[in-house]
Amino acid sequence: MRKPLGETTSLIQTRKGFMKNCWEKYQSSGFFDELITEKGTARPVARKLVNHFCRLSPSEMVARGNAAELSIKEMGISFTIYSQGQNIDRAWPFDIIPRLIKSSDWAMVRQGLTQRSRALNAFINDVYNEQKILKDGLIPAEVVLESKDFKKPCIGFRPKYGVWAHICGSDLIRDEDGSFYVLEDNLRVPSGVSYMIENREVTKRVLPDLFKNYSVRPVDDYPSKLYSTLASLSPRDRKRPCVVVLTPGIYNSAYFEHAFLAQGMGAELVEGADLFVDKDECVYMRTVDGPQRVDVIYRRIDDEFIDPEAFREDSALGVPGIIRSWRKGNVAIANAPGSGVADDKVVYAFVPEMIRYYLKEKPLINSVKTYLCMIEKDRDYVLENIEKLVVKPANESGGYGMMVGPHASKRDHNKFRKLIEENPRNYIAQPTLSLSTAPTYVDGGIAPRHLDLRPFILQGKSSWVTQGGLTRVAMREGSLVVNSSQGGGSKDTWIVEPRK
Amino acid sequence: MLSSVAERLYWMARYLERAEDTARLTYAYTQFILDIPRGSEPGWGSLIDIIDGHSAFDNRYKNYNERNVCKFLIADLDNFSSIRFSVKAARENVRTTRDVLPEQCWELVNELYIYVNANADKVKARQSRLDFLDQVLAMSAQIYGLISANLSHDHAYRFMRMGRSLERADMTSRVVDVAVMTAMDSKPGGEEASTWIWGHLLKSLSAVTAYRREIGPLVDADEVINFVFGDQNFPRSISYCLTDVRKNSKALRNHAQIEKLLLSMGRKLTRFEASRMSLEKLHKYIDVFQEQLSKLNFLVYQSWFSK
Repeated sequence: MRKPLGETTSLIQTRKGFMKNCWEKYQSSGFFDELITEKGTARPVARKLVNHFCRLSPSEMVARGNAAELSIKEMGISFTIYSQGQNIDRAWPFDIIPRLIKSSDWAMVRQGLTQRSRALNAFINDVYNEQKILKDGLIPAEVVLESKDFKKPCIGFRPKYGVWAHICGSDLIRDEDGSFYVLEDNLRVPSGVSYMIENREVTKRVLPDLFKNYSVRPVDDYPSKLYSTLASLSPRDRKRPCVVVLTPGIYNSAYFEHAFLAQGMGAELVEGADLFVDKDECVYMRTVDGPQRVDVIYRRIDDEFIDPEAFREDSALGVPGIIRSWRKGNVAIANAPGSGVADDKVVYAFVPEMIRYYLKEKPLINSVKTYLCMIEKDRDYVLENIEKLVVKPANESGGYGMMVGPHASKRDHNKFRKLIEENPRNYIAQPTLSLSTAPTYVDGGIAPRHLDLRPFILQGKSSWVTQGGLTRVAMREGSLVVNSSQGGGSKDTWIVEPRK
Repeated sequence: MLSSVAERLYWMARYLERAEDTARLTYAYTQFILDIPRGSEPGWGSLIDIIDGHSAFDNRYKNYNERNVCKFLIADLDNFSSIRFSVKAARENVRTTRDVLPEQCWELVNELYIYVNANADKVKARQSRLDFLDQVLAMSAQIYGLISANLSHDHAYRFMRMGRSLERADMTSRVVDVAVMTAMDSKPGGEEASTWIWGHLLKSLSAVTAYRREIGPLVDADEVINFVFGDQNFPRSISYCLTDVRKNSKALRNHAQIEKLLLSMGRKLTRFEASRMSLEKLHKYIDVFQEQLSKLNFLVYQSWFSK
């Protein structure tokens, strides 16, 4: 065979050095970058990983990217979005370059998150019972009692261990100097954990060599930890309590995850119509062998829809009488109905107070400075500085209905000024945070993209936090919106142990 | 086992079997046509007879030609027996029962779905059609292999077996029925035509080797019919399918009514002897059998799925 011409060879070589060049030129100015320092060198923890990626040729990068896409398609990792009147099943967006966190950094975060979860649960248990924190005037009573998430049918109830929110997904960000902040706590039906596990699975499939020289904490033990947490709530003392996952059905955006978790726990995945409450006020599921008693329900249905007897009468997704059964102590529900009362951006502002009040401890993880529009002083500040702030409705999730001041138009500023004045209780504002970045594979090159992190905290008889969590990436340049329903992507997240 | 999950597994197996049966049927017919001397090819309409698809077909097409019939059998979503529809329906059912199936099962069914969607429209040419059908048959064999090797043979497995065997018995009886009708239409004493018809029937059911080993190399109408109805060991014979349903239903509670019907169907089958029946009588016999199958399906629903 003829040897390739000299010119062609050099072309191949430059292409080979192309990725290296991309990494060397990489710069994320003004933000904390997860892998690269301000000087442009790899952080110690990321050195081997960056070297590995530098050695790949552009075509190899394309091949790995395609392999990841194919795995995701074949593994059927999808999420559903509702658009133009129909449900569309989208493949899960994934970036092949992992995000690395040192295990020593993570240990601190874990402690902070457990502390938060304990305080939030103490708060929920308090407001449905003694309401000490309101009587002591730490939190204005109307914030809690007038919230649409304060559920009257829950008053006076005490769940096992005093825990209401058994599964919490907190959104974390890192500021310019790399410190972690909690941006919000999702206590209703937080989702994303299955994607955390599947992201690792995809990385293992398409970049197995990357794991050489690294000791990465595994993430696939979540379903068994979740099962233990749920089983610890069982009202009956049985070796293997009957745990079910209650889903609104296949058209829910997180259905993939519901099925994934049921499978991971060896639990039945049920819909409302599979369950009923009998005359003995216990919950049963309809099986081919007749009714079978259910001990614990991991519900992925919102409070509003869970029981047409107690909440929305028109709900076809729920189970009539399930709240009666729960209050009698015949069945455990996770998260307990009413937990959403602490999942409110106004209540969020008071979490550091709660930690000091209930636990007599110092908060171990930062919260973001929050201005409550219901307080006159804060409101004046927000109205005057709206172009610098992020304004959020107190009670929306998924990044909907918020305004990022520096990125918004004058018209939007005025629109939100008006909205705030009309309904101050419904709005909070926070300084525009500089979300950290990480190198992301875009348009054949490497570029910084903003990201956040959602770890999951389990709380039952004992508590536990995931190793890392789900990293979500804003795929558009400069964008801060990481939600997958709005064009966000994701990354595998590695908690890396120091080398021995 | 949740009733709703049992129902989905039952249908998942029925749809997978249906996709496989339609693939086998189309494959056999495409090959069959190659053996027929030019000028005396039978029409493609008999494939539509088998799946009872005339009204859906007529809504879309005028001519019962090779291209239209194959498109209808393979790619059309408004034909509930087409490969694409069946695979799609099977996938929907697996999607909602992932938690009870082996993990890889979802991936395999999903791969089959992706493959069928990507290739179902490229089956005009016989070569690519045969390749496509081959692949569908191979992939469904893989899925069954995985299920029987990796899924505990518990209730979940039993409902899948019942669905699969009922669908099979249904398809086998339809294939025989169409052969019977074709034979009725052909001229009396047409020795050659008869060999085509019954030989092709064996091919459509992948029964050629089994028939040779059990009965012998000569294709005889009565022997063929007796074999596909009554053989105890061939997994696509009607007798075998019904025994399989019975075996699996017996392990479940509430099986008395089904047992009763299956026993009476079984008694009728033991007395079955093709040589004592005219083709017209055979056609009526199959009609009655089909009615009993739909009664069986109804009883399965009533005994385990209804709320």
